[in-house]
Amino acid sequence: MTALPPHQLQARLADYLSAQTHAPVQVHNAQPLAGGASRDSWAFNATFGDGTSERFVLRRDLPTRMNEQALTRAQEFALMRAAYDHGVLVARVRWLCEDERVLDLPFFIMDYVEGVSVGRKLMTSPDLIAARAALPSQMAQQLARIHTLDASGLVFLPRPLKNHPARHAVQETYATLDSINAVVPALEYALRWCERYAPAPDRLTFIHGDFRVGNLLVNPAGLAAVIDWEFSHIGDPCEELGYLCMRDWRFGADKLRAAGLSPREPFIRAYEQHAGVTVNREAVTWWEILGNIRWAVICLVQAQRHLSNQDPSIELASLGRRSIEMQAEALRLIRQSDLNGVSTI
Amino acid sequence: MTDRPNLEQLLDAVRHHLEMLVIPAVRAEPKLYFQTLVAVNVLKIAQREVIHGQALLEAEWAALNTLTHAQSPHPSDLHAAADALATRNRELVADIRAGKYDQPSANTRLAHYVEGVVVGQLMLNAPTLAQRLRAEDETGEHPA
Repeated sequence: MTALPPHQLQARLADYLSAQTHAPVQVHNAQPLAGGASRDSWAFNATFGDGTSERFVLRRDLPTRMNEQALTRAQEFALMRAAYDHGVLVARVRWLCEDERVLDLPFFIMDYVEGVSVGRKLMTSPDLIAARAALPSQMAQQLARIHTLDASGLVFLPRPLKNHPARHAVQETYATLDSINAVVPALEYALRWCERYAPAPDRLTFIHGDFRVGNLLVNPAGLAAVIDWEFSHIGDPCEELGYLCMRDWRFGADKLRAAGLSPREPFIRAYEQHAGVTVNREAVTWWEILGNIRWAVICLVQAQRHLSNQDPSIELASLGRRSIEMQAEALRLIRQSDLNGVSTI
Repeated sequence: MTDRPNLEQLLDAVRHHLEMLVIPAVRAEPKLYFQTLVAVNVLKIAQREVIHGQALLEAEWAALNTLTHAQSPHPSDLHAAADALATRNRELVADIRAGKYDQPSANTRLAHYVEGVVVGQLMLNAPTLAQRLRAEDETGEHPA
């Protein structure tokens, strides 16, 4: 069984939480949360034996894995706990359950945090004008904190081959292209460029891996929580700075390169102040270019899921035609880059 | 030949049906509403491809001839041309990976080629973005 009706979900969750807390728990008001094509998320209320009531979020696996590199729920639980203990703005995780008899698939439960995580809504909502102004500095601060998280206990995190994240990412992207038999000269041109100018990292740190406004919970005061940690890994922090600059993550506010919220340079300076490091701007641009290439390739992978009949869907089919948008952006950034002419191979 | 309606008009009839009748009816179901909007957009892409697809394919073929110093004639049949282009692209990709376009002059010619192909495809698949990018280039006001 994959789709649980709300009343069944509530009944099973009540049993689970009662067992966990050794007292009867009532679960009510379960509502599916929008967004996140790879996970099943619900908000619900629980009333405990002592009469107190709290709102929680359930994050459950889906039967098909969208991305083989995504972390498991148990791994995500462990690193969210580490991030919370490190002072990162992240929902506090409460219970992890890998016993599939409970809700058919592994899940964890975390505190509910009020906020918007829909990029376009965030960019246009009149209620969030002050939040939009506060966000760049808050994002820079959170990133600096995330990048100092001690990951020595998180041994499951993917690490780059030969401690060279840029070259590793290029090789992975070639492999993904080949796995779907995709032949796209524009992507090959761009990827070859990336291969030739791959920057060595100044340092390796813990990386969130999908840090963009669509993965932030934002309320009128600004950043409330960083969500979706399933692509966390060890890498070059410049990857994270370049990734959030991608045009597709600006949600229409094209002119402001840092997440559609701020010009890039003041954002990087704010990050440098919080992190106490100097950032290689060219490496950030390189990772923005690679981010576009990877997103272009992922669009083709998603379309392949439709074409192979693995997961027939108009959304997946249409994503295949969106690949060209990120191809165009990668080519533009390469044309504008200062790196041309100083190949590293 | 059955051309009343022709292919473009058939697609337009489906799009019209979705926009006028289906979308208002599914507005209360967020997922279905979103998927139907996506379906309308897909139909618009298909309509533009019906109109411009062949010309774009021929332009890509000719540009590939220029890039590879070939004089290969364009196959007259549309499907044969698409298959032949895929084969030629496979050779091109192998050459790119082997570094045969790394030298500055060859690399510039390759950049020119892929940019031409991508601009054409972008107008077909994402015309609004294509317009925004063109405006950026014309004004020189790139994102800061």
